[in-house]
Amino acid sequence: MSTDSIAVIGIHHTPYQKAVETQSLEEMVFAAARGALADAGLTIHDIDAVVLSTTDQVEGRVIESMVVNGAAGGVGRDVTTIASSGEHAFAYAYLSLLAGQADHVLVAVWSKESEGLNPAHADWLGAEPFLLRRLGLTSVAAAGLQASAYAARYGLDEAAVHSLRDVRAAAATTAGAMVETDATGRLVAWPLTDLDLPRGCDMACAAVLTTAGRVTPGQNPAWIRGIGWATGCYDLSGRDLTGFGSLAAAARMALGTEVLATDIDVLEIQEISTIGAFGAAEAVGLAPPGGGAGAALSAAVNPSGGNLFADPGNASGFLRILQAVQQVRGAAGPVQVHPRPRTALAAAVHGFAGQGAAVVSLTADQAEAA
Amino acid sequence: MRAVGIIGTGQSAFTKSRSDVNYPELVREGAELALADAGVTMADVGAVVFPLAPDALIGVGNGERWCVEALGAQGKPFMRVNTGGATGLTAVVAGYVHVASGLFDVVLVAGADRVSESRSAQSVLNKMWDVAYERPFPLNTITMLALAAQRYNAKYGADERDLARVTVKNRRHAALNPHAHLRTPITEDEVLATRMISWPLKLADLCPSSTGAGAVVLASEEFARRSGRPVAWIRGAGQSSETFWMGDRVGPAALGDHADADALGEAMARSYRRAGLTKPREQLDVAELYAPFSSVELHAIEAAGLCPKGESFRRMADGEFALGAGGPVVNPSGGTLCTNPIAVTGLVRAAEVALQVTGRAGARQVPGASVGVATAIGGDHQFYASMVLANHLEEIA
Repeated sequence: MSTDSIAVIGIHHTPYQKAVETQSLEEMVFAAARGALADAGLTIHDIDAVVLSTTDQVEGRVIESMVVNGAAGGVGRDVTTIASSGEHAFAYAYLSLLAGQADHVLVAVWSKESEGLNPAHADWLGAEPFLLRRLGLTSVAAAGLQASAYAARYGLDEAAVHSLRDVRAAAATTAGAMVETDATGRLVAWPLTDLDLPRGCDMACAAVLTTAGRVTPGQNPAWIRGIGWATGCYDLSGRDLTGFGSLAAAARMALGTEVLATDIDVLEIQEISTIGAFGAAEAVGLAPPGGGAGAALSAAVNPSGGNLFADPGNASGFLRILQAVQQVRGAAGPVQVHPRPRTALAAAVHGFAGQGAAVVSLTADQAEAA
Repeated sequence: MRAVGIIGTGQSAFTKSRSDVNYPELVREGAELALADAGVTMADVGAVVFPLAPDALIGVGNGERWCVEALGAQGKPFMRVNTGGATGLTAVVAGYVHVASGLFDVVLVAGADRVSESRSAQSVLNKMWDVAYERPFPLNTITMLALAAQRYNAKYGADERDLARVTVKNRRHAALNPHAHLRTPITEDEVLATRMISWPLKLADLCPSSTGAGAVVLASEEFARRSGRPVAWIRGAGQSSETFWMGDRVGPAALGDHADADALGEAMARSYRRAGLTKPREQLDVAELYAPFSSVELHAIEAAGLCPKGESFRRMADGEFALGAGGPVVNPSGGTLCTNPIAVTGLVRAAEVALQVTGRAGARQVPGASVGVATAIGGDHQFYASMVLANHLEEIA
């Protein structure tokens, strides 16, 4: 085990676009990887391990990391593909460095759902074939069930929902993180309309991580204070859908007992819906059960605009990590929080109604790193 | 670095299909065997790594999520690995990394596959290649490796009988392995008489489509010693990858020679360096080399450093690499050629080496085995993983 702390020293993502038609997936990933290396002041020759993350079914390629591996610089290097979520790829890069298996790790995560003929159909195939597929379970349906459970227990605060939409839209507009939509407010999964759900987009993202001993002058590191990830029941009836149990478990693992979410300067939280945002804020520890609306609307949460107006699928949670990294590096551009945050947290969820989750705690101060 | 060992392994009896269990139940079967072998329960397990290759083979997107309850993994850190055929061993490497990081003491790596039940595994695997050119070529894993076999034979002077000898050896080994799928011994002439699939590969040169489960339990040195169980210590792990494009492996501008397994050799060299292993032919007792087709085993043996390039088939004709012969034994389990449940095939390679170096391999035991290597290959022979295991933490002599 390395005794070094671990830092993120470079990140990059391609622009927020509904459908990228002028670049292949490989070109997008190449741009992201090259940008992250440039941000770190490194070349691919400095990288000894590459971690990729993909889900095969959306873009219609089997073992999709194969075609992208070269674009991410993987040829000749130690390559691992983590297929459960983009945020897990980040966690695995962290583990690899702690374990002394690499000195510099490049992580590349992407989604190009515009290449899929029917992303909703691909999503539905994530339901097991005996019962849930026949019932029509999809991510949208699961988000609706989560929201309805929350509304049934705590009431439906429509004013808070509208405010959340407006606050996120304003931030997303500032960040350039909004893609076009044909949403009209049509009810899709009670109580959610198509305006309450994330809008899919194409994007490739990358990050470079290293150990403290290899951080060089001129680099701008964001230090990892803690990482947690956890899973929960696949069967929705096995979970309390009003909350996000896996997210809460991941937050406990990442933060430990000494750090309170309420003391963190900036939080980038993946939201499965507008109403889901309230439960997610509660799960990371910003508010007690039922009190998440106020916390989700605070200026500390999702200054980037979050994922509701541009959501790159498997890369959505990973992008939250990159946004949190940029805040503590003071490099978040038009959505930079002032004064520059000393601490940040990224929270990501995946699977039906957030079956799994990951949390990354970051700091600008190496002395606070794990 | 923190020492990590395998303290438990589990394998179902691999077969063509199973109608008595669904996919999560099959995964659970392997996990329960490994947990029992390790003498632990899920309460001891800090994290789970799940190997699952193409989702399409089981017909459920992100099928790992379906198996959380069957594994009792609710509330635990859980992630999935997918590097194609290398997935199973990459997952064991990932489990090793979890424990070596210092964050976890006990990690379960558990998965399963039911390849024959996908109706057409080769149709699924054809979708690995690019839409515009190599997919309609048409490439699948058989035609791809037939090209490599042609190149190997042309470059080194091997022929179809040399390939047949690999099958004969591995079937003889598999007959001793109760977990193996194809356990019926076969002769060279019988191999040569099977129907041609893609020249020079015939039906008996190819692995079966297997259904079954596999799992291993990994633990920190402190936990492993306290457990009192036989421990297969992970002495080194290494991975590498090469170009996706078949067209970049042939012709005058090729990045590599399709006859050889140089990227596998690089992954193995990395694991050897970490293990302090410098003379594989003398220092290795056993090698479980991922080779789904007879032809692959020949260049894998050479990549492992067990003989020079172009020599393996001649040595195999002399009886080397088989149980009962002197020197390292290759695939005493019968190998991937006799059992290929894709998602866990690489995991089974590590499990078999763990059984060998702890003296628990039953009728297929290599006498006195103390050091071994496991490998796996994934994608279009693009992702490579290697792991050296030993029954001690001393310097490898």
